[in-house]
Formats: sequence, structure tokens, C-alpha cells
Amino acid sequence: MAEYLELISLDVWHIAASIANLLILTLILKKFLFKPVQNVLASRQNQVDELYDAAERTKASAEEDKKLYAAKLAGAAEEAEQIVRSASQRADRQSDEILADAHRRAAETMKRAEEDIEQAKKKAMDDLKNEISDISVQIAEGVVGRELNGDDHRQLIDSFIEKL
Amino acid sequence: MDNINITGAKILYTIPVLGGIRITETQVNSWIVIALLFVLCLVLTHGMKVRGTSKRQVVAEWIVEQVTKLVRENMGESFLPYAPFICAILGLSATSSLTALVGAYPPTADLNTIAGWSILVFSLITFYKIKTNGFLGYLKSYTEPIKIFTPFNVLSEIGTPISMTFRHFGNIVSGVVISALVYAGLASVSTLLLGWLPGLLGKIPLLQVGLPAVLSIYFDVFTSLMQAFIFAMLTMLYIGNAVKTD
Repeated sequence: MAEYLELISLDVWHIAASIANLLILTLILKKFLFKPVQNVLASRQNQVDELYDAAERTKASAEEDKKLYAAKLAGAAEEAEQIVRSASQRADRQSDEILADAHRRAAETMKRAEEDIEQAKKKAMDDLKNEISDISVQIAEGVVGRELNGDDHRQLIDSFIEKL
Repeated sequence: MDNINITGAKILYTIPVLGGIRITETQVNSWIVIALLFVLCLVLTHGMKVRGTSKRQVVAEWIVEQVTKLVRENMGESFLPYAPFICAILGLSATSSLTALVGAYPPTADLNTIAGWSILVFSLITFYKIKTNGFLGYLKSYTEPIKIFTPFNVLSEIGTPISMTFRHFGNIVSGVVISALVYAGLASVSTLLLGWLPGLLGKIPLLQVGLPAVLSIYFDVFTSLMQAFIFAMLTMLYIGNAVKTD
């Protein structure tokens, strides 16, 4: 017949063994369950954090790029406006110059033409004057019947014509 | 019903030193339980990965997270290193009690086992009380609210581990006792009703089939898990309260 303990009995060694067992199991669980699992959880947390960081960084750089491109676009629009403005200014200036040149030439041509006309008129006048005085002298010679002193008379007639 | 004999653990061997250290079923079964839990840890945590977790790893993570959560809620953030200790109480208590399912002697039905745990918990409670209030403050706390309360305070302090011990022990032992009684009773009734059957048929205790299994679900499974949880909860609450200054 095997020996049994009493149902309710206390034994210092058994109590000590029980305490030791609990502590040993605590150590086992700590080393072989909690440590490895906590390590995995921690590294997973790290990975998640890294992913979030990377996402944040990417987002930030994308924002920066966007800002940069927006600025560039605005700059390009301004530049284009600048180019158009300067081109049109240049065109205006050139057309002004051309117009001024044309005006000047036209005025010159007019002036020369007027001078020519004036000269021709004057020449015609002189010719006419001479003609008239010659004719007058001839007429007068015919009327008077004798030769007049050509020079004297011409002077006389000229002064007469001047008074006309 | 004359052969019912409710005893403690069977003594397997006596080491002949220091007046005889008896190795009982309690010791052996405790070691088996610890070895089982050790192997379980190794299996669950084997080949853990940060991504693409296996079912085993999910279980391991679930256990750790649940126990950690429990400790955080009941003891506070500073007691998180106690999570393995609480987990050990839960695991050792539940698994020890559950060994009754396979017909082994549950180490938790041995008063010494629970007494050891309670003494350890009581030491921790006292340690944290002294650490928080100082030794004089600890002594002074017994005289509050008035000096006349001192004996009652001492009683209630000593009562803590004793009540923890007997609550757990009583629940498990009552299961063992009731199971033994029901088993023996059913055997007698079986012999009484079916004993007239010829030959071996009359000797088979047919009535033992069924009812003990239902009882076992309550006493062995439900009570085991419940008592493990209660003991762990009380441990957390007592130690957690020990550091509260009022």
C-alpha cells in the first residue's frame, strides 16, 4: 500500500518547492515567451514607425516639389508676359521709327518737289519776263518804227513789269 | 461505498536527508506541468517573424498581450515587469488543475502548492507596502484609523494569504472530493441495479459513463480556469494596492 499525505497537511519543503516552481516558471515564461514575443512586437512597431516616417518624408518632399513647380509655373507665366511685353514694345518702337522715317522722307520729298516747282516757276517767270520784254520791245519797235535802245528800254520795261 | 479514501498526494520517494524530504505526486506533476509549459513556450515562439505570422505566433502574441493588458489595467504601467509572474500564476494554476482531466493528481489539490504561492504573494505585498510607506509607516498603518483596530488589521493582513490559499485549495479539492464521491456512488448504484446481469456484464459500472464527464467539465475545467484567474486577479490587486499611498 502506497503512502499518502494527509488531505490537509503542511510541509516546509513542499512549500519551498512550490515557491521555487512558481519562480522557475516565471523565469521560463519571461525568457522563452515574453522576451521573444516582445522583441517581435517591438521590431514590428519599429517597422511600422519607419514606414510612417518614410511616408511622411515622401509626402513632405512631394509637397515641396509641388510648391517648387507652382513657383516655376508662375515664373514661366511672368517670363512669357515679359517676353511678349518687350516684343511688343520693340515692335512699337520699330513701327514708330519706321513711321517717323517715312514721315521725314515724305516731308523731304515734298520739300524738294516744292523747291523744284518753285525753281521751275521762277525760271518760267523769268523766261516769260524776258519773252514779254522782248515781245514788247519788238512791238514797240514796230509801233515806233525805229530801233530803240534795247538795253534802256528793257530796263524800263522790266521795272514796269516789276510793278505789275 | 466502503473503499472511498480521500487523501493528499501519494508519496513516491523519501530523500533521506534533513529528516526526510518526501517527493510526492505533487512535485512530480508540477515538474511535468512546468516542462509542458516550457515546451509550449518553445513551440509557440519557434520561428517567429515580424511579418507573415503563423497561427502559433498569433497565439503567443495573444497570450503576451492579454496578460500585459491585464497587468497594466490592474497594477499600472510600472508593474509591467510582473507580467511573466502573473502569466506563470495563471499558467501553473490552470494547467496544474487541468491535469485532473487526464486522471493525474492535480498539484493544486495539495495545500502546500497554494500555500507556497500565497506566501510568495504575501511577501511581495509586504515588500511593496514597506517600500512605499517606509518601515515605520508600514507599522503605523496597522494602527489606523485608531489604535484599537491594530489586532483586526493584523488579522486581516494575515488573513489575506490564508484566504487566498484556502479559496483556491478548497475549490480544487472540493472538485476532487465530489468527483471521487460521485464516482464511487455511481459504482455502487451500478452494482445494485445491474449486478444481476450474468458474468462480466454485471461488473461493468455502466452508470459511471456520462455524469462524471459533465461534472468534470464544471469541476475540472471551469473551476480550474476560474480559480487560476481569481488567484491572479487577487495577486495583481493586492500588490497594486500595496503601492498606493493614502
